Order: sequence, then C-alpha cells, then structure tokens
Amino acid sequence: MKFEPFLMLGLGCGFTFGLWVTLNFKNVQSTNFIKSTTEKRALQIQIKSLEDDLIFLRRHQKELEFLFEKGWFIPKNRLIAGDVLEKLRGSLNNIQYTFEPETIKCLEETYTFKSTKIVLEVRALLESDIYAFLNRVSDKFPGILTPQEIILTRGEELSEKTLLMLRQNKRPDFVRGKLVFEWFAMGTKDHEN
Amino acid sequence: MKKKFLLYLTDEEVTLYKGANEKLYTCKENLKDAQQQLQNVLSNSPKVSLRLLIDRNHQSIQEEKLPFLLPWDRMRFLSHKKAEWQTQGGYVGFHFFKQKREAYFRWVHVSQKDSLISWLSWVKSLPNPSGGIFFVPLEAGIFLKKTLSVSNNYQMILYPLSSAGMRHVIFKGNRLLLSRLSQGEEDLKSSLHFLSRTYPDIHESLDVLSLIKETPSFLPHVKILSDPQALLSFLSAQKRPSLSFSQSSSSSLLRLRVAAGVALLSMLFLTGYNVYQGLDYKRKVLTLSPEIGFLKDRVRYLNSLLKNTNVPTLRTASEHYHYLRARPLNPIEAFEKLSFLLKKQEIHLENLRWLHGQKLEIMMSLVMEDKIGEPLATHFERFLLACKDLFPKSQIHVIKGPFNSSIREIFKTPSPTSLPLAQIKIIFP
Repeated sequence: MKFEPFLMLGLGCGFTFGLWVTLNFKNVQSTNFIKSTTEKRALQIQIKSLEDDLIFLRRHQKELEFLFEKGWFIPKNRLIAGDVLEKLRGSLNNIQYTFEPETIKCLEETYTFKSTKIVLEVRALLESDIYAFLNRVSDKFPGILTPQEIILTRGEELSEKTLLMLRQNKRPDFVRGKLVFEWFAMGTKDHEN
Repeated sequence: MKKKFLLYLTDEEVTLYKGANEKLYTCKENLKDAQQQLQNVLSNSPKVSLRLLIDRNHQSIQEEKLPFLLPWDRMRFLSHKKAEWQTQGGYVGFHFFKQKREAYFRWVHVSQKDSLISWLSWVKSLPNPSGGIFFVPLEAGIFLKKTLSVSNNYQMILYPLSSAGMRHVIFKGNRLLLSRLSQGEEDLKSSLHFLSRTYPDIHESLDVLSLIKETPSFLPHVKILSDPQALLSFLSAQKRPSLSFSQSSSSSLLRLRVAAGVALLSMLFLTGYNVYQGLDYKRKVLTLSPEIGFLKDRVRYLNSLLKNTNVPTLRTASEHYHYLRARPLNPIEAFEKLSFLLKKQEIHLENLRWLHGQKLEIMMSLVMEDKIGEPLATHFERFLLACKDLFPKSQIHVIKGPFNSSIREIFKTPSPTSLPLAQIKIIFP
C-alpha cells in the first residue's frame, strides 16, 4: 500500500499531538487540583486558628479586661499610681514611696517584663493597719504588683509619752514597715533599656 | 460514471473489456506480447481504472476448517501462516468466516514462482489506477446469492468462458467446494459424483444458476439467465473484492507494522488514560470549588468578628500574666492568718521579715506574756501547735525559745519585767 507509511505517519503525528494535548490537559487539571487542595487546607488551618482565637477571647474576656484595666499593656502614669497609694493609705500614720527607674526583666529567657521597683516606708499604730494597707494595694493599685520584701519592726516602746499620746487620740508609731514591691507590665524583648 | 477497464485473465486467454460489454482486446497465444499491446491500449486512457479478473484452472483459492481457537491462538495461527507465505513471497489475501457455528479460514496465495506474478507486477507498473484484483469463482458466490437466494444449500453457477467452454463453481453456503472447467455434461456429472462422496445429499438440494444457453438437462432446479455477460456486469459493478489481495510483506516490515501498531495503541491508551485522569482531577476541582467558597465566607465572617483585635499580643499578655501569677510570691494571706493567731494567743510581734526568694519564708520575733499558773513552755507549745494547724504543710523552725532555762542563763519565776523573746521561722511549701 502506497499510502500506508503516510497513514502511519499521519496517525503517529496525530496521536503524538493528541497525547501531548491530553498530557497538558491532565497536568493543568492536576495543578488546579493541587492548588485547590492546598487552598482548602490553608483555609481550614486559618479557620481553625481564627476559631481558636475566638474561643480564647471568649474564655479570657474577663481576664483581658482586668489586664487592660490594670495597665498590663501600657503601664499607668506614675503620678496616677502615687496618687492612688496616697488614697489607699487608710489608717497608716505615715507613708513614703519611691518609684525606681523602669527596667526590663527576662525570666526563663521567654518572659520579658517591664519592672518598676516601688519602695514603701510606712508607720502605723498596729500591724493590722499595715496588713489592711497591703490588701488594699494588692486590690486597687493600677498595675500588677508582686511583693519583694516585707519587714515589720516594733517602733516606739510603750512609755508615758506614748500613753499620753494615746490619751490625746494621737497614734504613736508602734510598728514600722518597709514594703518593697515590683510593679510588672508586659514587655517585649526588643524593648530598649 | 466512467467505465472501468476489465482485464479478464484465464490460463489460455487474456481479454480486455471496457465496461462489461465492450471487448477491446483478446490474446490467446503470446502473452508477453499481449502485455505490450495492452499497454498501448491502456495508455490512451491512463486515468481509467483497471480491474483484474482472475479465472484460472489452478485452484488458488483454498479453505481450511479451523477448530475452536481463542483470539490469541488465532493470532498465532495467522502469524504461522504469514511466515509460511513470506518464505515463498508473492501476493496473499485471506479472511476468516463462519458457517453453521464452524470457523473457516480462506486464503489465496500467489507465490513468486506463479506465472500470475508477471501480470500482477505488470498491472502494478501501469499508470492506470488500480480497480482491485478479483477472483472470479469467489465473486461468483456473491453473484449466486444475489441472483438466487441466501441459502446454506448447495448452489452451482455455470458461466461461459470465451474459448475453453464453461466453468462450473459449486458452493455450500459460503464455502467454495469446487471450481472446474467443463466441456460437457460428463465433466459436470463427474464433478457432482466426486463431491457426492463427501456430500451425499448434493443431488437432492442443489440449486443451479446457468448463464449458458445449452444447460445440461440432468440438472435439477436450474435458473437460466439469458444474458451471458451478467456475471461480468456484476463484477464490473462490484465496489471491492471479497478478498483483499496484497503483496506478502517481509518479516521485518511486519515487525515494523506490529511495532507501529503497538506504539499507536500505547499512545491511544496513554491518551485515554490522560483524559480520564484529567477529567477526574477536573471533577475533584469542581467538587472542591463550593467547599472553598464556603470556607472563604467563613474566614471573612471570623475575620469580621476579630476585626482590630491583635490576638497574638493578647495571648502573649495572658501567658505572661499567668506565668507571673504562678510564682509563689505573695505572703499577704499568710500574714493575715498569722496576725489573727498572734492576737488570739496574746503574743506580741517584735519584728517580722520576709524577703523574696525561691521559698516563702517568714522570720519573726515575738514576745510572750508569762501567765501565772501556766508554764511558759505550755503556752509556747500551744502556739506552735496552732501554727502547725494554720499552715499544715509548712515547716516551723524554732530559732530561739522564750525560756531562759539553759545553764548559762538566769531562770527565775515569775519572769522579770522584760518579756521573754522567741524567734521562729516558717517555711511555706
């Protein structure tokens, strides 16, 4: 057959072209499928993450509100904090406070905090006055405080002078206290000292 | 429609027709000269196709009954046959057919040594397009079926040959039983007698179609056609021969064809497979599309809920706060409890010291009133027991007792004006 080689050649070319076209079609569809699968997986992960965020916000709503109120993210002004301490002194005879410069404190290389040391020197008639003050401060201070040092000592001895003062409704400084707190707020590692 | 050239070849004569009725040339003797003269005739009409009609005494058409063969066994059988033909070269045509649930293989092989080869080569060399190669006895079977009726009975056709008398061809259904030249009744009788040994019922169920004027009288069921050229007209009008006849290809060519066929089939299979896979991927993508749309909507909705909220910062803040709270640092609660206890036990606190460290420790000095009628040791012990009840998991260390009872101290009762001083350390867990 004269036409057989041409027929075979034509069929070969046609089939090769067809194979190339179908291979291309398959590759395109395969790429589309992989893209779709990846997109779906990414979206599922994103949704999971967003849902986790929502659950976290719902569960920690009160805590976060408390932290906002306490100035955990942006510490309150020292003037405000000092004013609060004055207001919380209650039945203390005397209170003196010192706010030391803010430092950055790293704990366990993971947790970084802004830390301000507050030294309070108080005088009172009874130690219960100081305990009450400590309670008030831990509740109402506009920040998160952790005690570092508490020293209570007997101040003035019971004497005629102090008895006279008591008779005159004056409150002798029977107890003196040194209270050292650390005022913590959230910090970042790249925070400058 | 243009009339074809019909070149009718017998063992003794070559006749060229134009159409079925117009006889152009006849040659009986020197066939080599005939080719030259025919070429001259045909060259006048090079575009008219030439059909070769072969009608020889030589039994070139052969049939073989086959046992039941599976397709691959049939392929093997065919490949053996082809190999056999290839060794002899020449031209070959074959086909399988079935009759009464039995398979038959029919073939025509014109070997390289056959005198017909020179005619086939000559026809091939002509510029006239090929009109096909027809074996007249074989085509006569089709003519019979058209003229009589399709039957599995015995059928015979009698047709005239220009010089050598007449030819009779006998069929049983599709099978060709015999093709023979005959001069008269005796030849016909001997043919039928010969066949009756294998087919004893041939005399009873034989239908005859005759194209000759003087049909032998002993034949039953004879149908006579008045036109002796009817078979030639039929052959001229046939579109293609019942047996495709071509040059026997060499084994390497055959292998090449097989390889090409396999390659084409493989490509076809791969093409189909690719299309299937592509469509499958497409279907999956179409299934995924609405899911992705839904997920995107969900993401948009959740993002709208979390708008302007920096959750990672909030998480970090919460984590930091919890870490700080988890550190056991706050002694205020312990102080309060201790204060209540001291008041109850009528013990005066002299000093209290708590320093931030790894453990929660309170160091305190206290003075105890020496009660009349109660030993100081009992009072102190009661205080220590109360402390233990208050802080059950803590360790209480007595640094200094309020007794002044060692051998180097002054021990006197009632106690002097200054109250006895005790010093204890409480270590919380």
